[in-house]
Amino acid sequence: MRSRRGWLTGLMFGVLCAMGAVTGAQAQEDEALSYFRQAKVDWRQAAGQSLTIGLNKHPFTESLLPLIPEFRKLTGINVEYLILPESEYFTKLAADLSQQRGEFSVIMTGPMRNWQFVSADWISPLDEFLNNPKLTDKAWFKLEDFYPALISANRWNGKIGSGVGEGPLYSIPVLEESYILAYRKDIFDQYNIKVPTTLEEMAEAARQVKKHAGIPGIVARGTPSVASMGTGFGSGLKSYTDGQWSEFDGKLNATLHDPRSVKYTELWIDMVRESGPPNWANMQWYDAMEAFTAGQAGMIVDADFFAAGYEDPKKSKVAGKIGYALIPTGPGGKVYSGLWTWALGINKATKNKEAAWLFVQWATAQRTLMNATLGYRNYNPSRMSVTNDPRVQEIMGAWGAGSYLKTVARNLETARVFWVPEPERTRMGDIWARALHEVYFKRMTAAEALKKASVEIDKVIKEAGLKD
Amino acid sequence: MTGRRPAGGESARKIAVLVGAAILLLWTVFPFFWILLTSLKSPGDMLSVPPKFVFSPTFDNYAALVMGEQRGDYASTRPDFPRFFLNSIIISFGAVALSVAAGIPAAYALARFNFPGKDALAFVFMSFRFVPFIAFVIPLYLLYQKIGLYNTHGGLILAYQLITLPFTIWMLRSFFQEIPSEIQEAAKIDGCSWLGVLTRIILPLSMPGIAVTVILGFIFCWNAFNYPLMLAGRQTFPVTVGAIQFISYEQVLWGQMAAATIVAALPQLILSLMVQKYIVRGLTMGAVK
Repeated sequence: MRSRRGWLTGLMFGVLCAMGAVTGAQAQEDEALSYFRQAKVDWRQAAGQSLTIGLNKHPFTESLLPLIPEFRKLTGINVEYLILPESEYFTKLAADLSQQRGEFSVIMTGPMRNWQFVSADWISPLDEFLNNPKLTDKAWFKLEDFYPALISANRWNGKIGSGVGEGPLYSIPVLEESYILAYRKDIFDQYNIKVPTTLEEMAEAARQVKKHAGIPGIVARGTPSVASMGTGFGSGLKSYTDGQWSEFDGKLNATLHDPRSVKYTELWIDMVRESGPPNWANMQWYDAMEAFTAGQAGMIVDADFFAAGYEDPKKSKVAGKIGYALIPTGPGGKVYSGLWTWALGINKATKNKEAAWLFVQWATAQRTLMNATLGYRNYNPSRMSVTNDPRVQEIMGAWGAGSYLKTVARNLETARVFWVPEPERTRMGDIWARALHEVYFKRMTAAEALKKASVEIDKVIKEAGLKD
Repeated sequence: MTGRRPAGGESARKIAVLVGAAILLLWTVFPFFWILLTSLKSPGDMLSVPPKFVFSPTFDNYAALVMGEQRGDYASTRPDFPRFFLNSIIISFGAVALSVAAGIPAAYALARFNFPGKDALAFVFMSFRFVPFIAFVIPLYLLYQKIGLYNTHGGLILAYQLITLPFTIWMLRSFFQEIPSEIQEAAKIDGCSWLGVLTRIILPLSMPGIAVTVILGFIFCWNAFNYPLMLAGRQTFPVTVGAIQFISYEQVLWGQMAAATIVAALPQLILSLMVQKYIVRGLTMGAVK
């Protein structure tokens, strides 16, 4: 008898708990729905339609998935999705876009990817949706809440070789990524090492760290691929040359062999060879990031938001021991960091464009992006209102004793997409990266290797019909 | 005959062989052992330098495969993994079954009958094996999109025939050829039809060979990556494509990837152990001509 009563009480308690959980979730959903219904948009205008969303594996993606039922309730639109890691994702996406079958309606893309897709006429400009009052409540959506640099990065006028920041908007950014220096403040303080402001000082700091602390002075990406070029190395190069140099001249001739670029490459490779890790040539972004997180390097110049991992005491050996600073600059003293944003765009071949736009508007709304950052560590926010939220400030403000937020804010004043817009960027970057290996392994001098790479890139550009 | 070697030399040799075998075993098994350790680590132990061999194990990585969602300090993953696992089973078993069903008559014909263009035909089958997958996958992608086989189990089973069928035919053909033709002639004298010879004589005698073929075919299918990446969607992805989903943009979930790898390797392991005795016989069968 007693045991049965205990059992019954347990059951009732369980039911009550479940009901509590359900009503809690219900309240949250109601709150979300009323938030979105403030927008003067008929969310149900595409009810009954279906969308497939192509997504890159990312914290932002993780944050969207549990909310999809909420979107369905709001709009009556069915959403199916596919998630893959970056390289597999773009392989699959290119296959679909090139066939114009419209399998993916909404895609996760970004500035450099857009150039490839726009040149082939695969994605839709978003201005027509943004400016259509039937589809968008601009006062509610607040495009001006996004960092201007990020919106600029997703605009392009379609002219090969220039025009980023002009012309149509092709995607709405969901995060910000720029490149900064993270260094081991504890080691720098202990051995009185100066935080570098020039490349020469950085090489010296790396040397000092290696000498005193016995760990590599600097880690960096090193695989012979385009992925190694545009972050720390490339941002440093543009800063070293005071933003005067870029990889192509005005006529789309490769300029890697420019004396300033040669000099920078020599200094950089010497630094990496002398004070870097022995496996630099095999390092992917995560190898470099994990080495720094494991306390196996004095400095890293790479994506700013890696800080979320460095500062996570659960897996990081260096949480709370890091300082953040701008990338070393040239004589002009101004930093020119590269920039990337993941962003949502719309496939031109999709039949349900209005539904696709409603999804983009919902997924990049302030509430959705706030949830992604607070609940799923989607750093750095693309909306200023998210960054400035006290809850977000409390987390990010602690990193590097406040130096993180200051550094990122200053970096964003001048950061811009690193690459010259042209559809052959991947091949071009791969060739460039291989030249760095030639120098690192002392098979060629920097001048020879970069000259050879320039010639090779000119050939690629010509073959692609981008210039006569 | 020179005299027997002294007993001391004999045992020294034995020890050397033993040590060699142990080193070889260590060399082979260590990667698997390391994956197993990784799958039991928490993120803090994962990145430690030097690598940790002693740590307090956790099953959170395995739990994340089936539970998904946010679990404490672990980045969330949607629990698609069970579905991927089931997909792998359906596709691999389907593909192997189809290959064996089609491969046995084909191999038998190529082994025992004479007809014009026989060797050329055998070569054509073989050629599917050495054409790079990309030559097939784009036409298949277009075709599948058009006729509705894209993102279906049936479509993948058909596409996997490019992996398994040529291999099945060539393996079985060599096993069938091993069986002395006297046996089948004797059976025919006793009144067996061609089909009777195949089902009553050839198949029972080449069971070890068929077992090896099935296992290897299954492993090839289970490990296939490129075909499903291009021809499948989330509903039909197998574990191979599923496992790479643990590479995220801002971090790699090594623990969950290792756990996924261990779970994904289990069916191959179990199947191999079940038919181990056949495998040993089957592998030597083809060797002794």
